[in-house]
Amino acid sequence: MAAQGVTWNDATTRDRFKFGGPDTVVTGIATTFMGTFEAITRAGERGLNMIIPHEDTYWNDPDNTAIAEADPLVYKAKVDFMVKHGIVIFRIHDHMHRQRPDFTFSGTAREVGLDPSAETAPNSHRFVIPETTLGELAARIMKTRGDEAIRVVGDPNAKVSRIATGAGMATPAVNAPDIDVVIGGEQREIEGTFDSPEYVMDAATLGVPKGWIIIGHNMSEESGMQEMAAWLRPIVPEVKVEHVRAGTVYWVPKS
Amino acid sequence: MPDISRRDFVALTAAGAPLLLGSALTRASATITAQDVVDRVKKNIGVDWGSDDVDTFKAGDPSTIVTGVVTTSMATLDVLQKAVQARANLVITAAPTFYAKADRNAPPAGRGAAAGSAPPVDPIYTAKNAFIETHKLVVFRLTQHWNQRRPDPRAQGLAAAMGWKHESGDDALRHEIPGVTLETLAAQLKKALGARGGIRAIGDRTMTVRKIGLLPGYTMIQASIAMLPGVDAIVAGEVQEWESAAYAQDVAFAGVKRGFISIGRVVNEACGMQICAEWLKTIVPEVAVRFIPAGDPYWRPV
Repeated sequence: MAAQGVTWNDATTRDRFKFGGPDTVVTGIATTFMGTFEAITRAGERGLNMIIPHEDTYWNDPDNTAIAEADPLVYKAKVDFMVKHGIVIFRIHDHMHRQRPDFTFSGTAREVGLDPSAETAPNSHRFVIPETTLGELAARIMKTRGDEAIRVVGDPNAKVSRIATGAGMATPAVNAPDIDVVIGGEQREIEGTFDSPEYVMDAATLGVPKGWIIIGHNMSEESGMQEMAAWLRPIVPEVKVEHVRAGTVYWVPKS
Repeated sequence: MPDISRRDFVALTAAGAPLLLGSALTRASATITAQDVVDRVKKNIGVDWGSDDVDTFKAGDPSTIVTGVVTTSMATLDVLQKAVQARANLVITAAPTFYAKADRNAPPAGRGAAAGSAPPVDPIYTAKNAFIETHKLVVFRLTQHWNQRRPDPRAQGLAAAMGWKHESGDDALRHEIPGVTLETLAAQLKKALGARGGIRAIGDRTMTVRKIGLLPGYTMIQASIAMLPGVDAIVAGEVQEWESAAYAQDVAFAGVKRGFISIGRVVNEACGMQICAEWLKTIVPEVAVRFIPAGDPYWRPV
């Protein structure tokens, strides 16, 4: 991280060891979106005992294990698996978002079929595409991503070409006058600090071309962990470094 | 008795309903202002009305004489237009009117503009403010206090829409139904609640659900951990992906038969505001009260 010019912040509760000891001998590294049971299992099966998730492991952002311990359904099985496979987990979230480029954003762009190098300016997270409709753009993204649970707000027939992408909860301003479509990960449905589906719904009522394509937190950031793996390989040449997917989150009813 | 202004007279007759003018005159003998309606809400709601900056007037003049009341999940421009068509001028909404928790009628500084700079003139805010002003609408947000009522109105409304009876008395959060698959339950909820793309689920589609637990509104991980072990599936309003969704994902991955369905916050608030309209009818008999939903904000590509 220092090589990227990011000063390490020891005060964060996020970027720390979450399971296993720092003295554990590493057999391989798996980067993943989140420390899900699925990601840990896939990594363990591949002999990768160090897991670097972008998000939490214990279903809460500070990774407070006391919250997870209250669960009788899966917590024990998850911990037992980690013990058995000598897993060590170290989260990288805050520092990754401070790197330039922020890999999560290039991941988002690639996942929705945009070329990360085609930003209108470096790290602007803005793109201009040939004019299309919101409906066609959303359909293309769903096909590219192969994930069905994407959500769209706005008039499907709105003509759009100027896109701003977000990653995770970092949602670009939906009211920016020079942006037609925001593509983001996850955002509060109401009661956010600003961005809400309601603004885009009102724009649609007024015939102002605006769209918001919400692809999911996981979907917006998972792909960036491929770049994190690529970044780690030269600085940890001793072991293999692979990207492992944290798994699909939601499905939608067929009818 | 208030004067019916020339403008109101024109508006009423332009609507082509001379009979309505007659009924408006009859009702004028018992006029009620927006503030009167809110005072009655506070008096009758049955929970302590703490001071907060959430359940307050968001637009319009509280001394406006009410011609009709609309409750809604969210006071979108579309809902406001429908309210005007229904000749109602007091809109009571669960969600903010102006796009954010702050609920102010101008965009915050720094959004859509350079950091810290004054907000640019925003055509959406401008049009919404102008519509409210032109039609002399009054908007009041009612959510914190309404949702403290028990049974939880959002759970009550959802159960009513699905035809569920309470399993255990008073909280309306737990229900037992004849077994259906998780897939079928999600499809039934979608249809009954008028949802579109906002309904999403986690877990084995083919698992059987009999016991259902409801988590109305926005809830955090502790609520899911407390409820999921005792039910087959949770039906929630809104949760974060790194909390309850990740938990449900882990449970499902481990092969434990539990399901989790998120129906969306606005769709869930609609359930409660439908109940609110029925309740308001009992305390505001002077004018018509109706419920107009904002609908599911989300759609999916086909």
